[in-house]
Amino acid sequence: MEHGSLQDPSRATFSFVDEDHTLANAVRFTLNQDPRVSFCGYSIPHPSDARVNIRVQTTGDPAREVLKDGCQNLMLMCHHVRSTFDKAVGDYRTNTTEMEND
Amino acid sequence: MEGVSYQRFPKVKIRELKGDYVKFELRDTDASIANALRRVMIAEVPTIAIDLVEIEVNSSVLNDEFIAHRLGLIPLTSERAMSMRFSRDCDACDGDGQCEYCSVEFHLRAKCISDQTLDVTSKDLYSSDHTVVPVDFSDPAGYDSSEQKGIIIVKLRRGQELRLRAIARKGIGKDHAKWSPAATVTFMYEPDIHINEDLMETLTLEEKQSWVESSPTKVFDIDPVTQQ
Repeated sequence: MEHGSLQDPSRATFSFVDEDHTLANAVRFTLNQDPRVSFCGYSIPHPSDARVNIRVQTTGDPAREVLKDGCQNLMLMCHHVRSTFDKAVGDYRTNTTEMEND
Repeated sequence: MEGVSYQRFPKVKIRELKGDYVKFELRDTDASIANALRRVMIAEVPTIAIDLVEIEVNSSVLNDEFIAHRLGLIPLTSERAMSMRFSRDCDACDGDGQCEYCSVEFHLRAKCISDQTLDVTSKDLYSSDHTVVPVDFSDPAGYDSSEQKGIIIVKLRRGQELRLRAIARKGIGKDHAKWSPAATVTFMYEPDIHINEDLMETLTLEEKQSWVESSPTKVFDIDPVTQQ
């Protein structure tokens, strides 16, 4: 859900339902890495409510596109972490079996 | 896309890896990503746990819901969890959430006949699917057979009986802690310590030793040959 103004698409607040700090803090981090973003923050109105408000203000680009790109970057990073982790586990296993065989 | 140049891709290095324990390093990323990973590991990785218990006979000292609660907390091998469906999403069963695609059936029959106390353990739970069984915590070296009996559910006296049927379903830790696969997940920052070698040269051996001892946990050591 987006709360914005029709005249100014570069700043908006997005309301995510059924989410919490897990996603919101990670998205905030990836948005802050984007140079188009001038302000980014999130808040949780009430802890019993599974709802997160993410505020994005950009240097001109529509806030919605910037948020979508931020989420895409987060997905890429997570895929990268997964493949790096799998590779690291494989390397560790081969290294420890080599050490045991020596 | 402008954001790409600022995107950092984290690096992973494994420190230790055992069957039930992993210690690894995550570099070039932020605490928010590490925390998100920790939160997902605890709350959102799906596992299988007993969710519905039908008790036929229970003459033990524990009441029905007590035993049902204990059964729910027994860890089950959950490799099948990723291919299973959530019971509420399953369209193959006739609405009671007990078909083979979304659930696994267990049964347990125990009656104490001897004068000795009978321990009803997780090893007495029989599964309809041999890939989903209570986790076996026994030591592979097999030192002491009395320690390998599994998790004790209830103890029975002579004449007491327990007979039940249990359905295990897929779930996530957010719904109930019995579905959480992780015992503990923690992360901490790793401090980067640089020792100023030039200043170290100016200290005498006693001063170096007192400096090494001054740290509360033993972090530094003096090399006896070079005395550094």
